[in-house]
Amino acid sequence: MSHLINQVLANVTVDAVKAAASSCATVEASTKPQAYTWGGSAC
Amino acid sequence: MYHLLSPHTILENFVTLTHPFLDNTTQPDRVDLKKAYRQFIAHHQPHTPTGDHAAALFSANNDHHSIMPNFFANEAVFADEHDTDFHKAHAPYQDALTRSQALQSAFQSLKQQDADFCFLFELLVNKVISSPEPTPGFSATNPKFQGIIFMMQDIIGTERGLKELMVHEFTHTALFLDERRHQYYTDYQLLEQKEHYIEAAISGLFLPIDRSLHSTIVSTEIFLLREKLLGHPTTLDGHPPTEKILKKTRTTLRRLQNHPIIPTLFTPRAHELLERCDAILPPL
Repeated sequence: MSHLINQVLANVTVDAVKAAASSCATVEASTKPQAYTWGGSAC
Repeated sequence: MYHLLSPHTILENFVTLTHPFLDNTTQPDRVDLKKAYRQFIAHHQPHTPTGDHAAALFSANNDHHSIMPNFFANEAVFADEHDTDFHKAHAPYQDALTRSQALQSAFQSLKQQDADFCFLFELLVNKVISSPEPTPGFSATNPKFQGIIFMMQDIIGTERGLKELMVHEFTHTALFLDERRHQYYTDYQLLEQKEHYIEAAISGLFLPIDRSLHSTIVSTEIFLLREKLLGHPTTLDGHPPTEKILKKTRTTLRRLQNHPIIPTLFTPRAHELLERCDAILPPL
């Protein structure tokens, strides 16, 4: 897994980080608290 | 996410989002990555507890009781989707600590089967809480409480079933990050309009589109988990038997695909996820 982490880090770009930060801010501001619940026995 | 896309995709989302908070960008270890993740969450969600490196992943104490009212603010979900009386009457664990220990034991067993998945689980999940409070039940995540999972004491689950439940909640957690990176919807206000709700296949309840998309992806992930690792149970074990899941998921998927608002509401990423589910799920 450490190899995969280093591979991902080597390929991450400044543009990708900026785009992700922008998208994250939009989603964070637009998302309301909402519990995604699951009860296995209810199905 | 783990089987539907890949560990690489989950790590890529994680690193890209937390990169501004990562001190060591050359060869970070797990502690460096967790520190950046906690700072990322504290920046965007200062109300969300993130714990620290010394805290146990599985918790049965009341430390986070104060966040429960907001975490479970949509209480209608409990009343409408689930039969709480059933859970109270058939609690398989005597208390929260016993349940938390069962979860921890199942996690250690899962680690023997798939160490990479458990590495990612420990990276993205900061706390699995089995609250000592008698209600509410169920397992749950919340996009406004990144990294927190509630797994209560009144869910039926063998060790195998508990593994499914952990994969289920991890999938939501990984999806919340994927959505933050890629944005799934062009207009989030449309999600709240009830005329756009999707009818759930089994319960018949009408649910918001984002919940229906999550449900489809999580169900596909559970199907893949069974195909690749845990096998297909013949009775309810964490989730219903595979045949029932497939029928439900195919129906929800078709309703999403046929919904008139989807072509413009979904971003390319959301379309991609839906198409991937469609390609993986066997036809009925």
